[in-house]
Amino acid sequence: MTEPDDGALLAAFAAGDLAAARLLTERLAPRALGQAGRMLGDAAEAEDVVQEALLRLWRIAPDWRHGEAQVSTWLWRVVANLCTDRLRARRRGVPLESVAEPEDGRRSVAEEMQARARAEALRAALAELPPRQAEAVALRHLEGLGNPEIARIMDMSVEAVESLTARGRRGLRALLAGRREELGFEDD
Amino acid sequence: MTERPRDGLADEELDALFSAARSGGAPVPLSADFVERVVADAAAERAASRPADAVKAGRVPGAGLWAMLGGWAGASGLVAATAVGVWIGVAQPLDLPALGAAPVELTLMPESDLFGMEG
Repeated sequence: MTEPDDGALLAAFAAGDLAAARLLTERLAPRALGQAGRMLGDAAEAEDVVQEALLRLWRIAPDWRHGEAQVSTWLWRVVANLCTDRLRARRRGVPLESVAEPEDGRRSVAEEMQARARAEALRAALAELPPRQAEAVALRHLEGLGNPEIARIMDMSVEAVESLTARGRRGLRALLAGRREELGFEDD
Repeated sequence: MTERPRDGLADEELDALFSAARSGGAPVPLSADFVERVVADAAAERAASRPADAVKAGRVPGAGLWAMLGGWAGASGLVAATAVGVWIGVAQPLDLPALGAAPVELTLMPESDLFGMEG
């Protein structure tokens, strides 16, 4: 027997089946948590974002047009959007030290610190980009999605995605220019 | 080949930052507690949207048009206006002379009294 697709589960939830919401959560949340975790570098914040994204999904469930869009595609976009908002909010004063924790015990402390510093520098720079650029860059380079898929998620042409990510990369390189040494990059 | 403008980070260096962010954002495990929170949200949302669903379920075809007409009050006014229109169309104006039968002259300013000197 084939499993119901995400849209069918959402329709079942809209009709009152709470078990469908649980199944949909177990199916969609792991990937969404990974996406939010990579963008934010903080497990608790990632959970908050995904909970908020799924709450929005429950709210629109009665109006969801089954077959017109994919639930997973919708979720990529909402999570990217919420994460970008969070990154931008961080600019208003969350200390760097309070974000992210080392997870990989195989790396040395120095390597771990440098990786954290690099990841946080990148997230801080993403927060300075226009939100659409930040979302496209994150989907491309943190999630590893192809441009056609990003185009579907962001509801734009592939050419527009290419342009956004190229401008985003240029913006990041310029924003981080003054931190090369601090991030462990040295001239040849 | 590494491309690094004088005032920017090199492409390879930027890729190293992406790599650090990918590995630093360790997978967030799906905890039972988290699932319960999300399902509780879903239950609350269902409970909150039930009245609206009941209205939707009881909706009859044409209900939107009925509301647009203003319900009973609007519809009764519309019926009255229609009845008057039908009556005007059906009733013959018997007492009026046939307008086409003879020319009707109407003098607003008699030439003989242009300056209102008479009377």
